[in-house]
Amino acid sequence: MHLSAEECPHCGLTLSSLDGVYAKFDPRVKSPSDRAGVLSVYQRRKVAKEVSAIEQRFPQLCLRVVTCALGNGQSVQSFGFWLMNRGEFFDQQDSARADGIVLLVIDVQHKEVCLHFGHLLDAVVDEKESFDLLLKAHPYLLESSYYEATKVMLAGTRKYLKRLQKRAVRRALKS
Amino acid sequence: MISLRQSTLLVLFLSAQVLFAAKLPPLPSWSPEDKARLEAGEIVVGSALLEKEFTMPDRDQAIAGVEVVIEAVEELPQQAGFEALGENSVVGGLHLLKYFGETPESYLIDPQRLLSMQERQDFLYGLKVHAEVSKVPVYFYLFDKKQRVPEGYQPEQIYQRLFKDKSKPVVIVYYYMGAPMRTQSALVGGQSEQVPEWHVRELLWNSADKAKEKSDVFDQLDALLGQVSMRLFWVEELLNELVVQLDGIAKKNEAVKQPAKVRGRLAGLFKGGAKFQPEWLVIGFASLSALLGGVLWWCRRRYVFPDTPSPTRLGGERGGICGGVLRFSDSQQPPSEQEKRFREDFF
Repeated sequence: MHLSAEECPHCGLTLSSLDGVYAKFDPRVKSPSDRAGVLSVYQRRKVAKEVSAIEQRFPQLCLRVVTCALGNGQSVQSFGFWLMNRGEFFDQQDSARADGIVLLVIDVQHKEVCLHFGHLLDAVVDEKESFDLLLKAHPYLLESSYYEATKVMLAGTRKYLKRLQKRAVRRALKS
Repeated sequence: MISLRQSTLLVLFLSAQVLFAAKLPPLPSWSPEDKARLEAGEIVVGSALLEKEFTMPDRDQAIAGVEVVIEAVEELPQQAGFEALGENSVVGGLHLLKYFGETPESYLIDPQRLLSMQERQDFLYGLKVHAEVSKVPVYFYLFDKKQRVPEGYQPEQIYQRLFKDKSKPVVIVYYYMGAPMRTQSALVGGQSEQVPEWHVRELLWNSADKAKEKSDVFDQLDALLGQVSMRLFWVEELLNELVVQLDGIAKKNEAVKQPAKVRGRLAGLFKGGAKFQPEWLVIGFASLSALLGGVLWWCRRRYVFPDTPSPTRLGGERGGICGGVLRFSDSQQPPSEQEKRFREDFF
């Protein structure tokens, strides 16, 4: 996606066009937001606890786990992008910034998973690295063990965020 | 001119003349009586070699010259007071001085020369090997079978009189050649007093009993040394244990002697005998504090991102970048395959 582009130069996609695609989706995002209903109550509590622990380490960030079942014409990338910009995030830390959102979106219908980052991390995120941190959860995802997969991916996310923070500090010092 | 053949013949002739001129002993010849018996057939030449039983000639029939030499050796003048001891005599005179006059320089004390040169070397070698291996060396005093050691010269008394260094244990053995059961021994010096007497007695009795099984006199002595050397291993083990125990008791006694103020309550924590040093407490406390501080800092550490302005994407104010998409719909499509194309899939 081109920086500062108002629409995609390839397909002409804009945020406003996505509003129509995801009009039926609830924009409220809790921790976790289990829209696909793949987690039990106990598992949701455990995931929320883990997410809270990570957020405490990163006071500027708001981390959310979202499970969903997308339909035709919808994708995990566009849904994550839409939810990040249009969603209402509950239970945020007071110190969390609006552009410090990190979304872990799991589409149980198309069997896809993806991480989305806010503008705060834009300069340091690498697609390949964020893909790599999801790899360890692949065996659990194949078996539809979403809770175990979520735990593994959150652990990877914690480590990756630490690395991003150090990288951002280094770059800030250089510039 | 004389040819080579002629000169060779001349040399041979002269050599033969010289040989004939040398004085050689006359060849043996038959006496007239023997010659008569030989002709009569009473004597068969070489019959002595063909006889089945060969009897050694009596000593009286030996050559007279050899007899003279042996008598000459036996009749060597003896030093006054150092006459050869009888088989059944009490060791005395200068012999006592030779045996017990000074601290033994060798592990074998044999002034009577009861062992031959080779036996002496072999036995000394065995004693030296034992001394190298063992912490308890063995000193062998050799006497003849029925000789007796006078009162006041028993092994314990000899040790007290001759051995200056009493810190190390030694074994002193009085061995009577050919009579291993008469052997006297004593384990003395060092911590040997703590070793039960029955232990040493049993060691000696068993060793002598084994030595008795040998028929040769020197073999008996050698066997006794071997047995004593082997069985002393257990005595050494016992001595080592005693040394450790006594060291522990000595350290405890030293600790008791220290004034109560010095010991203190904290010193009681170090029961291993190590001296308490206040610096250890300070260092330990500082290390523990540093460790706790490190753990606390790690737990409470916060990762703050620097504020770096970033342009919006597709009009999204909060964010717009997403990482690679991992697909798990097909188990036959491994992540390594997806890794090649994930960049192309975005939007």
